Amino acid sequence: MSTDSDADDGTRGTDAGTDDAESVDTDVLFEEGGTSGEATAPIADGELLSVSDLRVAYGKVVALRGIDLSVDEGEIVAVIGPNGAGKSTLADTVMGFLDYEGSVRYRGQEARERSVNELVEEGLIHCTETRDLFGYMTVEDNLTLGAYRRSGDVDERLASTYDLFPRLEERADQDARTMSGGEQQMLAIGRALMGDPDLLLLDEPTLGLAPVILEDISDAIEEMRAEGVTILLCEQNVTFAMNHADRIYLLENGSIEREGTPEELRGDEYIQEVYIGG
Amino acid sequence: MLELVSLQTNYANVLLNALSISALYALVAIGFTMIFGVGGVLNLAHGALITVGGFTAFWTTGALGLSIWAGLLAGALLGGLVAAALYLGVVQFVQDDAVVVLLLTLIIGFMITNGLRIFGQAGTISIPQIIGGSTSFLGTPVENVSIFIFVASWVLIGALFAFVNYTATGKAILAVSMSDKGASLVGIPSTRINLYTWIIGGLFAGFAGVLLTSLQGGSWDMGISPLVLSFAIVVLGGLGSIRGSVIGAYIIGFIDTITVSIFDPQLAGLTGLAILIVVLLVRPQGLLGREATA
Repeated sequence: MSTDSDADDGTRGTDAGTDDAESVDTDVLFEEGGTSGEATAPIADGELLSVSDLRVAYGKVVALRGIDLSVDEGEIVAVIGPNGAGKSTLADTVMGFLDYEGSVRYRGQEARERSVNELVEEGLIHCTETRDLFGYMTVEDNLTLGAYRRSGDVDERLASTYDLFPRLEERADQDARTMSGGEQQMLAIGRALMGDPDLLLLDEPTLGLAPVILEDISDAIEEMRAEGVTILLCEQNVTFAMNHADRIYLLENGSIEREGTPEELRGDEYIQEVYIGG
Repeated sequence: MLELVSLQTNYANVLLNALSISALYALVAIGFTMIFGVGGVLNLAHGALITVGGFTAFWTTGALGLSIWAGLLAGALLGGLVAAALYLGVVQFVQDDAVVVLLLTLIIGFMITNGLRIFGQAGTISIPQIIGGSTSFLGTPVENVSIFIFVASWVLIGALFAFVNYTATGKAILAVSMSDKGASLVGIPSTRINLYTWIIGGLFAGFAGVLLTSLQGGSWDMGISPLVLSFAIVVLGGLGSIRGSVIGAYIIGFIDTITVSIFDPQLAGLTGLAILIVVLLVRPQGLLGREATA
């Protein structure tokens, strides 16, 4: 039951060890290893997420090989890279789904010291590549459940989510599984927004979507920026990422190969050649 | 002529009896299917919870000398308590391993029922009837206890439906049954949600155990045949579907009661197994089962 809902980002050459890696809620496997996290510099002002020397492996298959990355409040930061580079692994690790070595700190606190539930409560919301919707529930029930950990006015948030994605309001009573891929993506993002994120992990929101839908998602991201939502965007579509991100990291084969502003990276020869096409 | 009238009365009684027995089966099957649907766990100790209910009522009314109503309450509560202990003490740690769960719940169910046999009562037990007397329906006398069982079971089933479909916690239960990961993404605590389903399943099984004992007497192994029927019921209705298990309970409850009363009492439970095999061959997802991928 739990295995079919795993995020599959293609980084797994094998399934080995994935189950062990998921025992996040209770076990603190790397208690001592956490010292490397303590050695990192103090959290700078406005820094929401700080990742340093992050290493993650699925059994013997190494997915992340010592990554450093940070996201400041109000920023949109993109992680680009080919399929299998480790983007979804990064997002899943930040969310507390995977065991890791090194340090992942959200609001200054190690992810491994928190349960996924606590992270959600503290405003870290993950919109996964696999979407993980409640297929046999209506759109509105899916959205309402997005606010499960939020007290206060759910109706108000529902209204603003519908403003962002009018299509969802039209389909409010429809079961999630009966919707198109693009609509399901909107629902996944909408459900994440219902959780009132301080930091939104947005994993491959454009994957397999038609250009028309892409525009809707683009608009939504800009509206979220206007509302002050901080976003870590994992994205294969380099053009899309460059259009929205303030800063970009290029992840290849589990390592960060480049980082900079979109302008800087556009001028980079390697990126030009491999990712933008010449 | 006289024979014909009594035969008609007999048939009517069989049908009315089936109506209330099936409601009890539905209670047992709902718990069984909910625990599976939410946690992916087949609880083979579910039958033992029925026995726990029956024995609790037996001691509450006998040794403690309390009323049968106190027995009904105590039986249901203890069923829920034992189920909660089973989940918190054992199942939550091995939940992801289906084979280990099957073996452990089978062994624990065995230990509970045999413990009751050895340290409790090896023979049959009986408790006072909930309500005596009978009411006439279309010229046929119907035992009041059957009416009570029917009404009480449906009140519980209706309450569960309302809880699951219209409360935040109920919807969270549905959410976990549909997507474990999706549920954790929105911050639903899956351990607590699983615990709720075990408590509900245990309450329902304990409640059914008391009423079965009140209706037809009980014994340490009284949970086995309802467990087997539950298996058939939830497979017929669609594993994990509450509505399916109510429908399945009525289909199997009727067929089983009719077979037993009209053909041969020794066939009890066999019809359920026959239906189970046919369903598995023809429509393995059951009547209201979800497709494998959702």
